Amino acid sequence: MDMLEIKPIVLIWWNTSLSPPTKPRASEDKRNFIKHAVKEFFNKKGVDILALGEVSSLDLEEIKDYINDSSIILHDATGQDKYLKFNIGVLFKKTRLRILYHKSFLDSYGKITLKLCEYIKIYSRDSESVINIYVSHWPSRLHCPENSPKRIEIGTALRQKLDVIRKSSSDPQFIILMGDYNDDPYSISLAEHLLATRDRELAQKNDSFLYNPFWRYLGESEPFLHGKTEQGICGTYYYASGQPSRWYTFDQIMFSSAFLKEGPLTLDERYCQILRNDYLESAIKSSESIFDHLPVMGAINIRRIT
Amino acid sequence: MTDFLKAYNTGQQELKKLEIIQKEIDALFKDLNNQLKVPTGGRIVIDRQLLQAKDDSLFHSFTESVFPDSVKFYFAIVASNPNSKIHKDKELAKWDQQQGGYPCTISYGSTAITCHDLESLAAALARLLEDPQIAKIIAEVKSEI
Repeated sequence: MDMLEIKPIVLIWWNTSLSPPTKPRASEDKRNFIKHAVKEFFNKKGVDILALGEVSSLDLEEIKDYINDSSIILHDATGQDKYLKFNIGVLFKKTRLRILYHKSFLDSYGKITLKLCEYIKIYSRDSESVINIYVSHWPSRLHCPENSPKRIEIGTALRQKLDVIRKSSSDPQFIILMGDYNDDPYSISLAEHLLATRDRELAQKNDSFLYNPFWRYLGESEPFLHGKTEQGICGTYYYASGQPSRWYTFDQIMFSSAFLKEGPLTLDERYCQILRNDYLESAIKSSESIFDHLPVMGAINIRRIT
Repeated sequence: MTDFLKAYNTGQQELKKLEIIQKEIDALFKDLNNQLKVPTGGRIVIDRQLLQAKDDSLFHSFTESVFPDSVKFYFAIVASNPNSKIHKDKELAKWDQQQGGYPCTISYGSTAITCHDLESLAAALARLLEDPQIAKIIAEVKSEI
């Protein structure tokens, strides 16, 4: 029995800052930069699922027009109802993936309503499997501080949504979480309430845990060696006034234990990384620029029995 | 020795709490209907109802006839018109209250809201009524003869 390897499914999450909730829309040259970068993701990185944050319907339509590729479909989860603004959009390679179902999950108590995630159930044509994707943009620390009980609530509520999927079948479920959590991998909301662990073996053995490869991106990207160290990064989000670090690893992609087992879909952690670009790196450090996040990438290998 | 009496008492107290929650949710729906009664001429009632899951597949029709237990049900928030001869419940949203108390989830259109208390549930029901697609269904039910 041989396992036939097919091109991996590549995922990218990027908080683009194109249409932030409390600031004006990005200028034309900034929008052009994002459009060009997105096109490169499809053409050079071979991305199949590209989730974008802080975008409007107008931004998404512009991006889709610019890419001009009929094999790409857009799931627009933006819009503003009377109470909450949603700012997520996802582009899919429809030749490889099909959207089966989608829902915006909200969590409400008292007068507070929190956006948990955009849930998208997709079918992978190559692996003939279902993948459950949860794209999130959690509240900023400006409006919801690091130790706010809201962050704990949001982590617990999201885990409960995953539990429903896990209990729906005796087979391990393929679940991917991606987004800007405005929390680091070690934050209580993610590590203790969502149960996103750095311990791969634990996640592999216990289906309640998610494996979070982005724990490895908490520190400096390059080891220090006097006179020979290139400028590095130590996170995905840069905030010039940040204390005790200006860098945070808020953007993450997490995987259910099914991806760590023998099955049609397996995590390829070599491609779980922060995508770097000289222009973007200097832009996120500039007080003049609207950009403050780097994109993150993940990949899943498809194994088919021949 | 395991204190079974303590466990029993805890269970009974929890049961009472659930009964109180259930009564407050029932009262919320009653209040909603009371508010709608006069302006709609008593032609709209909104409540929770057990519905049969729709599956039009031939296979499902076959299995349903041979194995009636295979029929699936779910709870929904429905609108009905007590003055109509049709008097058929129209689904507005899915209603999920797995624990018997809170949280409960209202799911409609592209949104699912999980509510952890009475205040958030009241707000979610108001939000449901404000949705234009839901308003359209309610208007159709109201106009049934």
